[in-house]
Amino acid sequence: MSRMSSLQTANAVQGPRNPSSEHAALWRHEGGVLPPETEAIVMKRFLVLPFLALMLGGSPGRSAAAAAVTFYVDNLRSCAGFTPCFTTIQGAVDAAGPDTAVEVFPGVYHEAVRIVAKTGLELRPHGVVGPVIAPPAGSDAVQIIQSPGAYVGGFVVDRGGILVAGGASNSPTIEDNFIRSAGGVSFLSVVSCVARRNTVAGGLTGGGGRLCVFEDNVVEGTISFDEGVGCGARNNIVRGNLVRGGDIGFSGRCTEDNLIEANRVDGGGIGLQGSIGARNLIRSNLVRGGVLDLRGNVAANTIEGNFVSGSPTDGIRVAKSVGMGPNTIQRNTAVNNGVCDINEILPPFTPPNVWLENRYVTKCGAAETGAAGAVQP
Amino acid sequence: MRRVILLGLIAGCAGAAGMEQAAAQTLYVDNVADCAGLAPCYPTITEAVNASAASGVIEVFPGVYRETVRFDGTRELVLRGHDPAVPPLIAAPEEGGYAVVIDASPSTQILGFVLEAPEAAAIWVSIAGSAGSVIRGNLIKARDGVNLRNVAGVTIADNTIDGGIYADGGRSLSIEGNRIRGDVRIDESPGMHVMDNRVSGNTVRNGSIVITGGNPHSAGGAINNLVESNLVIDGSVRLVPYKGRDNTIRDNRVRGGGIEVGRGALQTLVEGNFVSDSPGDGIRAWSTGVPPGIGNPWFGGRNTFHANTSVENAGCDLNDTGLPGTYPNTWSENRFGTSCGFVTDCPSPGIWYRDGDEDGFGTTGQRAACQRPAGFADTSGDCDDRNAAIRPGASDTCNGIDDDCNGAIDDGPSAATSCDDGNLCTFDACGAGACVHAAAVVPRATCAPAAAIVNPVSQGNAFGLTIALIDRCTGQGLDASRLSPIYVAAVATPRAGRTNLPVPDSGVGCRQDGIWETPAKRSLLAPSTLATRFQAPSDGHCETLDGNRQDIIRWLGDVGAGNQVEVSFAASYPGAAAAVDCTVTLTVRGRAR
Repeated sequence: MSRMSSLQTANAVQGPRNPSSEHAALWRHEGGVLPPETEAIVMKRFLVLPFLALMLGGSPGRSAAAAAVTFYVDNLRSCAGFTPCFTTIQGAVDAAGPDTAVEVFPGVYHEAVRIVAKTGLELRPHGVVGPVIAPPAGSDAVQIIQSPGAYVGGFVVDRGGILVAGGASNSPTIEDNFIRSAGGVSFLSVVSCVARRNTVAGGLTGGGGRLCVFEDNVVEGTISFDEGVGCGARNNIVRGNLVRGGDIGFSGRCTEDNLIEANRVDGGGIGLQGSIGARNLIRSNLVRGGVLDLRGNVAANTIEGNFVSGSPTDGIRVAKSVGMGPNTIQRNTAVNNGVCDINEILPPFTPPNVWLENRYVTKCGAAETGAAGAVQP
Repeated sequence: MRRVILLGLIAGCAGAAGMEQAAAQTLYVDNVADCAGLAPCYPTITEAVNASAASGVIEVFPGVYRETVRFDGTRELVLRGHDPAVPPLIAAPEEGGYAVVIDASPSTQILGFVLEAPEAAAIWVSIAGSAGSVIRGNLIKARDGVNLRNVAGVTIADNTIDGGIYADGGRSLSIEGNRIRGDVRIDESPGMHVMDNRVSGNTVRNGSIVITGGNPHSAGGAINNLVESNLVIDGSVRLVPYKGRDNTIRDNRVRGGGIEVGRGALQTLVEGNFVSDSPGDGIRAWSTGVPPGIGNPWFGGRNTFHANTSVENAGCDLNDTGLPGTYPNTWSENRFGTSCGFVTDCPSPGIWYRDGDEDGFGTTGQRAACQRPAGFADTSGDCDDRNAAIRPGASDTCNGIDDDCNGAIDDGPSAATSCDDGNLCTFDACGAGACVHAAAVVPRATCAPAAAIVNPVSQGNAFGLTIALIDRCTGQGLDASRLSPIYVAAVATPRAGRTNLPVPDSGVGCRQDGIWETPAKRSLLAPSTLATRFQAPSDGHCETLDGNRQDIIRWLGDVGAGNQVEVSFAASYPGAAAAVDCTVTLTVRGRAR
């Protein structure tokens, strides 16, 4: 008989991005000649200040998994039920707003992805197995244009490469990709770029980048920085890379305050050819089969603790232009090189470089002249 | 006091560290200079090894060392660069020579060198006595890369290796994080099965990862090996033992090759891999096993191929040859374009939802499959996957639970009906998740036209009803004055030829007697069956129900004799579950003036 309604009880059912900061101000120090006795200062300048800068301003680039919204791409199925689901990467990129992650399911994507005017876009695999991007012949697999804070990580790129154009595309991160063919990774006048743990055929180009970090990559070809559209490559770090069949090279005006450290260069050398190249530190690198070469308008650079062997010509060679101030070459080892283990070509009216405690067998030119503590078997 | 304790701890730790350092002898090698004054200093690595104690560290200064460094016997040595950032170079001295040989020498560590052996392997490790050896962080350029024979417990990690890795008999090997050109191959050797090896996180180019093992007469085989998270470019992953079981191939990327599980592979899990651009099949199962009569009979199969992606391969993306004499394999949730043979997977799987209580509704844990997997449903929305009685569409009984998963507790009509105890004299309700049975009043009304009926009925006059109330549960009379009207309706049927009917009065309710006194109560009159024909009592004609008399209708028109008027009345009574109602029919006897 009872048919009154119940007492109803409502039941309520209910990464950080690390955009780089302009740490040039911290990193940069006053110009001028660097006497050898200021070794400690050099260390502070090149190691302590960048470290502080990174601590204060965050490392350049960004890490994955910082996006607010996630889009999915699957050209085989329906994204396992995840939505929104796109069949092409480009479709997802075009639909993405700021700080969107585009997660791509395993598959081969025959497209040239253009990321244009997208802020904080992340392109990454869905799951642990990265997809393949195979663009049409002659195209880059991924182009990043006017898109700050972009992230591309975890892909196999078959044909083509990855291109990041400067301008507004600051703080891009290219990480953990495998660039199978000769497309390489290129940054064109980009600030705070990061290339980390990639395997790259075709080289890694920094252009006239500033505050970039190239770290722990395996590169077939060269790692290069040049003058670019601005003054040149400054305040970059190239560290822990394995470079095979090519050089690490810096050239152009304003090649300043760069750190080239702990790289292994096999079948190539390390070159610094600045029209104004100063205060760069080349330290603790292995060079096998190439030359560690400093030439041109270079001054106040430090070459320290490197090991050079198997060069078909000289091991460590410094050939600066007339009138340039001294560079410091200290505690390096150069042996088994084809011509001279160390060689200094000193033009007239030019102050000598400072050679300290280097280990070598043969020397040429003015190298090691009167240097205290030199080792010569 | 704290400071004293802290200093003591620091001193103790420092002392312990110092003792450990003293126990592990460090020797130095420098063929360019004098070890920067550190002693003992040797010009060759071999001399330092020969001079070392049972355990120790040999630090090598940068230089090119043309020698074959041999570790044999029982020494436990660590060979590393003096500057960890700058690797020294060991070059095999003669044609066909090795750079490093580790022969039954346990826990040898080769850390951070460049090793060159253009005509042979750069590192040769042999005999199970070399367990615990570590080869890490080296750049190895050799024709044959790293060779192992009959070894167990060796770690090869974070190296760059030209020439591959070849193990002729290996157990508990850890091959991790290397960049390799050439094959990674582990075969069975006499006396050592291929067991418990881990090949993970490597990049392998121009080569394959190959695991064999077992032979027609062996009792072992390739057992419990793991190939995981490798990137293989222009090569394949091949598990092709004569006998093998319980191996796993998981989360690998293979580009330009395939994954192959063959011969006597039994109970292999192939899961989460991505294969593309193979010149043959993408993922292929071709188990054969060892026919009876040749050694111990062994049959391959019962392998599981799950959640792999295989596309754009020259052959079949998935292929199961299903040879006679082998156990069938299981294929599920793979993503592919083409399949051949006995592959049972489908190209367009449905989405299924985990259904733990098997009530036909799942939760958010979803899976793509061709057919509904056991324990899954095709519909989601279950809010308690451990209770089959709780699901969308279930009866939401009075229990404090959202039985029908609509987001509200005890909100359905069944919550109330579930509390019905069948007793007319109880008031049944659901409150706070439980039924409440309160004593109820069940009034029964007896109503009749008021004494004078409607004779005569004149325009502007009123007539009423007599209502008597009793409680059906107790038989006791009830106070009719406590009735609260719900509606009053009047329907008139005119005599033939007459048109005068009762019509609504726009007058206000009875202000004096408290029954119709508020517009709100008057509004309750609205649900009349003939809303335009009711009339509220007007001033001057409203009487209380005391005395069972209520004037509720008055005529507004000229109502002729013979007209019939049906008056219905409904009211609520405090504590009653149902409304009290009655209907009477009046006949106009006289003519209204």
